[in-house]
Amino acid sequence: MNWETIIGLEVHVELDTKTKIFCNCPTTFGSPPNQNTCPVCIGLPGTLPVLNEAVVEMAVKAGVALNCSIQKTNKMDRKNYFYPDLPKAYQISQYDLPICTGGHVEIDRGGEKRKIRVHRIHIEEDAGKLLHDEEEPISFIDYNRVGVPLIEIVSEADMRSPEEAVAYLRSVRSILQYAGVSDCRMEQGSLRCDGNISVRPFGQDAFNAKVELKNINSFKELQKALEKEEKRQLELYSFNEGDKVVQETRRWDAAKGKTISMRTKEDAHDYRYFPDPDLKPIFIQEELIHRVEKELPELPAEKSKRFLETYGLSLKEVEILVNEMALSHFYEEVVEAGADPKTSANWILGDLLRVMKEKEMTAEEQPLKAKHLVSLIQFIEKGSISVTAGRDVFDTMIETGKSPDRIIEEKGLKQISGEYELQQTILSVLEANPSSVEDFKNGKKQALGFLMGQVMKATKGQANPQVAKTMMEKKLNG
Amino acid sequence: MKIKPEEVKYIAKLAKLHLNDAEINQYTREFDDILEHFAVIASYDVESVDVNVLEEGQKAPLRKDQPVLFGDQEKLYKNAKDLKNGLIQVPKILE
Repeated sequence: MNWETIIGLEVHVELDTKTKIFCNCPTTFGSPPNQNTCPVCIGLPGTLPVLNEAVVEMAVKAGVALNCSIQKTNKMDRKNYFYPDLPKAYQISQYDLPICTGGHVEIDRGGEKRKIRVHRIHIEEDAGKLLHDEEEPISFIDYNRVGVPLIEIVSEADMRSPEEAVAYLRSVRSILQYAGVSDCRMEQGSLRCDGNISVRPFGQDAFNAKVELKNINSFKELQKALEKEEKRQLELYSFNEGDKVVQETRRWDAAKGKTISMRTKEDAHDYRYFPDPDLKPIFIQEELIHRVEKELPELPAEKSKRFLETYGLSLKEVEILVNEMALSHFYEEVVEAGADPKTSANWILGDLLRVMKEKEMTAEEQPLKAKHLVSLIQFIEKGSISVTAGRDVFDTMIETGKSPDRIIEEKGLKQISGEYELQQTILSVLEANPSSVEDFKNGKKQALGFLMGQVMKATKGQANPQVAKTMMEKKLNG
Repeated sequence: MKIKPEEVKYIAKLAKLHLNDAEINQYTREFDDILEHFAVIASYDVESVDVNVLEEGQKAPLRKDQPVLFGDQEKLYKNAKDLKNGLIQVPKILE
């Protein structure tokens, strides 16, 4: 039997505001525990939440960027559940009137564009962080993250494979980064994702039981978790144990490489939502939507189009550059400073990506300065250093942050391209190897290679091979 | 009666409340009264009312995005039983 996989994603994104959603506490990541808290966000009695205008604006921006309709009237609701990371015992979220509805994101599947629909986007507050002691039976609570504004983007169940789900998440991430809504750093938790997955025989209309996967922290883990869960469900169905696929929440254990049932609690989803009586409905003015539409920066799709038209890069190259906003900005900085677009792309997509991978750095963290890469490219173009030496300079630039001219100077990598400087070396090599010269004149063209090797040896590899070769041939034939 | 005592028991469980039989009866009755009141509201036909028409005074006041540290964490966490390096220490929380 042929099976079809159905996937939907819920993506939580921390908005890049300076303060929390309902109080003036800063949202700085990595502050001392519980420093960014106040009576409002830890829910002390007698306090009242007041909505941050930047949250409304950024949520509208996210909605516009993801092609949603903005709901002019929307409201906040209380979602009730007891867990110690939530000091009020309810999370302020949006239930039946979310801020945005009905958008879509385009993904590229092997050159073919696919539309993944966005069901809704709502705004809500984040919960705190729990830390568990490894030896003693105690836990610790840090409320700094409580009340940090989030948007939850709920997709339709439109994805048909783990690859599509990853492509969708990448797309959403880069769109939101470009829109300036969030830094979307998965490693810091500012982008988190839950996956809903089920399988059904091809042609069947009804959905089978779906499983919600939690605790996914990277694209790689998303792919692995979905693949593993897809496989688990398919196996159960094929062994006539389909009744064991039940609607439940499973936690992805990255270390064990498998999903683990989080004990089906039949009332875990009974959140008893009701409108938050402390917060009046949010009314979004038409002017705000117009302003956001007007001020929206260039999004990945437009940027890709422009890169393709302007820089003569391949589709694949553009895709990699544009997917990482910081990388695309770096690239443009290099090109605008006068470096050749194709050569710049080669360095960034080749050596820079290699170094970033080796050092486990993100595009934001990589230390290379655009002006240094530009001057390195120009040194090579002018023939001042060889491409091989250029690689060496590149790695040293990353290690030390020094400028290329200083590194070339310190390492003595400067290529000798001047005929005047090379003349003497070539003459002495020819004098010292009369038999090879003889061989060449008798038609053994390989002798040239040997003679060139001698020139490179004499100049400690600094002779410009093209220039030296031309000069040598001239001498031998002349 | 629209509400059954079982439903009150279930909601009490979700709210982590321990109610005795007398309380359950009392709340069953009160819940029912509340629902009856809502039934009156629900009986109005609001199909044609545009939710996007709000009056100035009905919408949420908004706050500027300017950070201010509360500052007095000592006072804020005065009632926490155990604090360790600024973290609140609690018995082990299992998933």
